[in-house]
Amino acid sequence: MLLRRIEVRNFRRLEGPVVIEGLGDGITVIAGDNEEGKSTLLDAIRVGLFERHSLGGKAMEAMQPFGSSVRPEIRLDFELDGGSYRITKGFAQRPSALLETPDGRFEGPAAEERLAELLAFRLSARGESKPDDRGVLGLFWLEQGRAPSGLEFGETGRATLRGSLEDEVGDVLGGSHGRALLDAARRHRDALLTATGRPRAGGALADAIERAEAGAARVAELERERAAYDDEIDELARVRRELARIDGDRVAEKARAAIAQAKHDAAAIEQLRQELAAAGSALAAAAADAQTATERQERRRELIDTLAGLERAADAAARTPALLERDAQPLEERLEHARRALAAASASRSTAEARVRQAQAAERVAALAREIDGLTTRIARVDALSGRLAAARERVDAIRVDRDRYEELQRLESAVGRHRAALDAVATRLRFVPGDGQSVRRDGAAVPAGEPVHVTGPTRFELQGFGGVDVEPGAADLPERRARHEQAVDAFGTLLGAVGAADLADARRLLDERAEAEAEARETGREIGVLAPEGVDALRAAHADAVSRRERLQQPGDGQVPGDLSDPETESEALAAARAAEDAARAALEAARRDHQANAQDLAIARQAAHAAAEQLAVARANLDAARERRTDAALAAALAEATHAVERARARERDASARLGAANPEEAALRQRNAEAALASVHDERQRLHDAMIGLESQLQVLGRTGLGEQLDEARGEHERAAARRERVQADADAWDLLVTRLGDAERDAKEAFLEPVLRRVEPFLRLILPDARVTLDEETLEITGVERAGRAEPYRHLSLGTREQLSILVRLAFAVYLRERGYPATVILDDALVYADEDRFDRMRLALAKASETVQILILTCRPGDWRQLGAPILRLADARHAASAAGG
Amino acid sequence: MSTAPARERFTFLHAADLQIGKAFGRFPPEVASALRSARLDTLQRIASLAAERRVDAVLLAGDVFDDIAVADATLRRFLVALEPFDGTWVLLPGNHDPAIAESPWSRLARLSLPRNVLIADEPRPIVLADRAAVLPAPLKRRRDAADLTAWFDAADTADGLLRIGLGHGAVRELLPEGSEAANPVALDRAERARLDYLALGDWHGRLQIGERTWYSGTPEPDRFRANEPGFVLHVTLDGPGAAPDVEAVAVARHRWLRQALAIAPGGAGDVRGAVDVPHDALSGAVVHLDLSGTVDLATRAAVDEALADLGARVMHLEVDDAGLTVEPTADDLDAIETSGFVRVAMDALRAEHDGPQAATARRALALLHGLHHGLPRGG
Repeated sequence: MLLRRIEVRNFRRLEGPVVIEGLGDGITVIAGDNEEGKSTLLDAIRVGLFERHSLGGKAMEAMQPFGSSVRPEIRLDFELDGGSYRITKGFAQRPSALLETPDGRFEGPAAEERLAELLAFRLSARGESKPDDRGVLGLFWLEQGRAPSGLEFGETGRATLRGSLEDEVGDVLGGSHGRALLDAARRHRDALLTATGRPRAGGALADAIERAEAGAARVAELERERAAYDDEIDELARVRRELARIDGDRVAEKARAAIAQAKHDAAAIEQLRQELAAAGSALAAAAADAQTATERQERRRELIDTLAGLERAADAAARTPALLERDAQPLEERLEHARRALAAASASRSTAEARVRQAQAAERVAALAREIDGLTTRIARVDALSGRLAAARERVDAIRVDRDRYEELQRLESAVGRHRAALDAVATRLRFVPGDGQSVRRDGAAVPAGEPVHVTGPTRFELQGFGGVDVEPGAADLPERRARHEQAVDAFGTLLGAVGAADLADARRLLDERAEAEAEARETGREIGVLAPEGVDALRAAHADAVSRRERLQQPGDGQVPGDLSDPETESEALAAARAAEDAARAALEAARRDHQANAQDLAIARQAAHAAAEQLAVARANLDAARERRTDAALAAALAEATHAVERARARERDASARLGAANPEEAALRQRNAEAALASVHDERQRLHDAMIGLESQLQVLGRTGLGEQLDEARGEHERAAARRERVQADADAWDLLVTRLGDAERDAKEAFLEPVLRRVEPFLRLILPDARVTLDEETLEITGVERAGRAEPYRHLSLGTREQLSILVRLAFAVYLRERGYPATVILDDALVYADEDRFDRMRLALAKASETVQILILTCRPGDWRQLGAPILRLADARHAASAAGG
Repeated sequence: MSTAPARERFTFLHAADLQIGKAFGRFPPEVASALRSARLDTLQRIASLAAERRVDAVLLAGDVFDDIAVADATLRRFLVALEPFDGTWVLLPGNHDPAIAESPWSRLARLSLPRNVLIADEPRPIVLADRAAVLPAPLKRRRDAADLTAWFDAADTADGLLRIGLGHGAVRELLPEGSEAANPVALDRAERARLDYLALGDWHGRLQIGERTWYSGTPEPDRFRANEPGFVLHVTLDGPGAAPDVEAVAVARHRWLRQALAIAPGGAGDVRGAVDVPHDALSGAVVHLDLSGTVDLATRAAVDEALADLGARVMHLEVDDAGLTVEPTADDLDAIETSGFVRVAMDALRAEHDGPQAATARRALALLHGLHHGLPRGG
């Protein structure tokens, strides 16, 4: 359908007539300010097409301008399949409808029915038309702000679209039966499995698994119980066997017999033990007797031996005194001889001592003589040196120049020089040049020719051949300088006179002479000091002392000095030898005295000893005789032999008893008895224990046996087998349902995609303009936009931004419109103030999309901002102009 | 021995392997319960048969009880089942119920055991009615490597007494491979021990080993093996050395049947015919079917239907259909959906029939098939 002309009058806001003409095949922009009636115009087109002219009531009244009851009129001219059509409707007071077609005119309801048929919409049964009734046309009329909610197909529009799609792609969906099958399969599957394919709790599969596992657990439990039961039976058998064995083996009887035998053996051993003890006692008694006899025998032998010893001792003691008496004479002689030798040695020693003293005195006199000679020589030398010292001191005292005076002289002489020079500086200088043979004189002395002469006072020169010339120098300070010069000359002359020197050089010579005399005095004094360090008087006193000591030594006193006197050392050696000889003689005397005393002592002792021995011998002899009187030696020997024999016999008896006891092995007998007693106790305990165990096991088994473990286990195993088989079956069912649902689901999804493919194919180029990498998804049932897929991620439509939703809904509409136009359906797109949420860029892209769609579909754009659309190059009609034109035409 | 042995006929029933107390746990509880009580019922029938035929004794050759740990209640019910026959019962411990320290035998002895019930738990002769000496070889452990019947050879019995051996174990030479290897019994024991008859237990099928040696088999089948269970032997001995007269008497309550069945497409009808059991025995039958073949979905559904029907007619039906492959045909698939995504999914599942989850994919298709038929077909 292509709208060509719209004429409206008395319709709500559009009170005055409005005529819009020259609507082209592509885009037409209809511009009007706010409140100028753009939406009213859209409403008028809707009413002109879909509302019955007979419409009354509030819906009709709403068409009339506010507060007016005029007759609303609408006329639409359009083209369909190349033919021209016009529908004219009037409402209110005189309702009318007229459809003019190439095939004729239709009026009233017939006109409306024919129109509905042509444009594939549904007339409302009563009252106002509903969006559902408007067919595909309604789809493409986008009222202000409605776009973001989606496509909002009416039922008729959807039916038309679905019909068209099924015409094109065939019945890929298979109708409701296929969906019912899928739903039923899904119900079966979901009863068994969760979304992730696990058994659903409470479902048959979960139940089967649970039962199979419970069955397995029950079987395991019963098997355990059964095994325990069997073990207990085995244990019972074992216990009974043990008991039978104990009873059969007669262990207890054997043990008792063993105990009796062991006791018997013990008694026999005790008897043996007593016999052994008796033998031991007998042996001890015999041994004691033998001991006594032996001791007696020994004592007799001792007595005999003692007596023999005493006889030998008495004999020896009787011989000793005679021998000692024979030794006494030579000892006395030796003592006398020694006394004499000592006296001679003492005399020799006294002589040697006197000779030593004499030799020492002679030596001291000689030494004093040498000392006196030395002292005499030194005294003479000191006297000579004292004379030279006095002469040198006299020379020093005669010279009056010393170092200080000499230095004073030097200073005064240099002051004379200085003052002379100062005087000469202001002196009148004269040079006389006399002729040959001539001379000049001053104060008698000749003045040298040609040499300057300084005159410092009135001076008279005598010129030879001329006479005298008085020169009176007139320099200002001459007198002063001359006075200072003269003073200096006087001081110098005075000091020279005081020291007795002619001039300075002479003073020097005197100074040197003085120094020389002083040096000589010092040298001489030092020599005297060396020779007589304590003074000359001390030296003389030493000399006198030495002389007096020699005189004392030389006085006679010790008798004659022997002629062969040697030096003191030699004499001292002779004295030492004499002393040694004296000591030796004294020692010899001492030894002789000791030997002599010892002999006397020994003799006394020997005599006493001889007496004592004789007494002892007599006593011993008496003892032995008394003993022999009591028992003879022969009797003693016989008694000892008898006792020894008795011991031998007792020992043999004891050995025999011990051997018999050892053979009886008392340890073994005791061990055997203990073992037998332990065995008896153990057998008793064991039997009791086994019996208790048997009773316990029997009663336990009786209790367990009642329940029929064997049957229970058989049942449980069968039940488990069935449960396992069921689990397998249900699992196979679950797998099969799952597979069936998967395959059906896959097939359905593919089918849906195939079904919508023609539309989606046409959406794609438009969508690319605003969402380059996205795919739009539609619900194949409602044909509503469900969302977009970007980079494999699905975004639900309602989550998209308002602007994107609006743009998306317009683009999909354009695609549907293009699709339907291509398939020969009427489709005109009308946008009322659309794209309010689009930014500059999107707006620009949407304009491109509209321009592209307009190649196939007629598009009317109602806008209050015509400037936005100017770039399209589409005709822009102004509502205001349309009014004017209509008024002009109508007027 | 007050009187000399009488030269008269001696008759007895020989049964074994009753395995009272077997729980049949792998069956649903109600079936297991029926199978359990069936064994006691059969014992009671044997007692009644013995009374009816006035035999001298009933010999039970081992495995009277399934386990040594049967419940007291079971023991008491066992004694009740013996009551119809007041003659002598000789009960031999077998490998399931050996005479160990605590066993059904020791427990029976503690209950008030009737005087006519003899427990042969020691290897020594039991003289019955002064005419026969029963030589028992009781097991005293589950598995014994020795031939416990060996003592029969040297067993001394009074002249004129019949010698009847009573044993439990395997005659290895004659039994099929895989039979109990322990508890051996010599093939020629009857001859060597000069027995007039050797009553054996352990093998659950009726089997004659020699002129005088028999396995009675279990009187009430307890497994699917087809080896002639369900009998007791009525033995008549005319005198020492005379050949025994042995009559097998059927006493079983339940038939056990295992059947292999190949199903062809459209062959669901074969299911019913596969169970070859007389009509009156059908309700007591325990049936196991092994299905094989390759069928379409429709046939598979029909087979399931037929199996459900059969299951209602027998006491218990178990089916192994691992060998039955379902291969949906184009018709199967068309019956569900010819267009739309469901068809696409079906094709995908069918393509997986050779893949790693073939079984799951087949099952999924079968489920879809069932789902389709269970849903009201809309548009």
